[in-house]
Amino acid sequence: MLTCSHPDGRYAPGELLVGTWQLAEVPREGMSREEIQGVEVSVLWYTEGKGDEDLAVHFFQRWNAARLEEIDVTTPQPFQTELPYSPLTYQGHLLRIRWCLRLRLFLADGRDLVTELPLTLSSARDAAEIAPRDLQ
Amino acid sequence: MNGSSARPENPFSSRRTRPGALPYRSSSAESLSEKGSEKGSDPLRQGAKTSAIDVPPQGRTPFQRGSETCSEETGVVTGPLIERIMARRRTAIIGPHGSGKTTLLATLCRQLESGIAPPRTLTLAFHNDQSQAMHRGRLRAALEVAQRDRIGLVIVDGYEQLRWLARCLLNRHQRRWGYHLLVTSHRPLRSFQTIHHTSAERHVAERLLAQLLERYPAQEEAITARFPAAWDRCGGDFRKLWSLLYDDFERLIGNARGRETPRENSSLNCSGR
Repeated sequence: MLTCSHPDGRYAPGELLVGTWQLAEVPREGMSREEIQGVEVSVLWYTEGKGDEDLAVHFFQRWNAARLEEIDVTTPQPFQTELPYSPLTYQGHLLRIRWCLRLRLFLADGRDLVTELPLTLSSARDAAEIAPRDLQ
Repeated sequence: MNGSSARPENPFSSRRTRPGALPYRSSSAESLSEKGSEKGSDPLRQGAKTSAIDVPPQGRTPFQRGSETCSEETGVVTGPLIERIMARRRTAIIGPHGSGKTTLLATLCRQLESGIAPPRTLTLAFHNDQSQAMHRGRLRAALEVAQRDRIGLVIVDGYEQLRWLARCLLNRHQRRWGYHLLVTSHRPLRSFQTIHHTSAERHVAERLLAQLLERYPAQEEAITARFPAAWDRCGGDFRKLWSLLYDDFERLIGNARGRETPRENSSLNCSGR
């Protein structure tokens, strides 16, 4: 499970994103604790639309098997990153820019499981909330 | 979780329809195991038995499989093709633009990687938006790698993009170092064994369309109704088909409100070789 500090997933440029991940059920059905070889959390943007695609990872953190042994993966594991000022979330006809928080779980048999939480990086919402504070 | 203003993902975006994101589908299992295709037979017309290589689309449901290593793929249809690739030194997949050559290659590569003793593989893709000088430069660099790393199989997607000189360079190198060479091309090639012909068929497109629209019940009927016109316009080119339907989908969800792209121009945005 992935969570971030803003339940609606909307962030302002430069804002601090604080999040947590946790595995609700370990072992899951057919999956033992030892099967989990690693967990990766990333904050990234990608384009969606026609033609070529683009993608960039803004934040990346990996918990390898040894690290996972030291923590309780069923409790929230925190991470944080300061979001950049661009590119902002964009929704056009030919192109969209989407941000997301991605958790990738690597299993011993070579498979990996992915879950994503969509984010919005936009200055519009924050004009009222961020700008006055910044201007002081 | 996202803001309410977020538009749904367009099911015909490159992310969903690029080679490898969609499964390679063939209407006949025999088509992929027949011996040779030099006679130009259309494998998709060779029988009603339906089989498909089903790779899950790269959607974003929670905890999906991320690395298409599905058992449905394993050796069911592509096995004979792989055997023939590895039994000969030079093989080719032939088909018109947008008929699924690159998609089939992506499927074969996954199959090769999941095999017991996969050959070391080097894949090169050549596009028509690159200069011949760039092609030759990339080819030379790749051949050095093939030689140094003792590559067992070199795959060249878009062989027809290479001019005579570059082809000579590649063929001479292959003869000298003896690796397997698999290429895609629009036309049959001398000295290459054609192992499969790809072609875009309407019923295959309809099945892929249904798969792409699985998660879009609200738009399914309207887009399906627009499919015949798009199919007629695409001329058997899947890339163009998805591009046309992309625009239709955008119009449908109102994303292009007030600045609709003229239908005549939509195909210009098709990426391809």
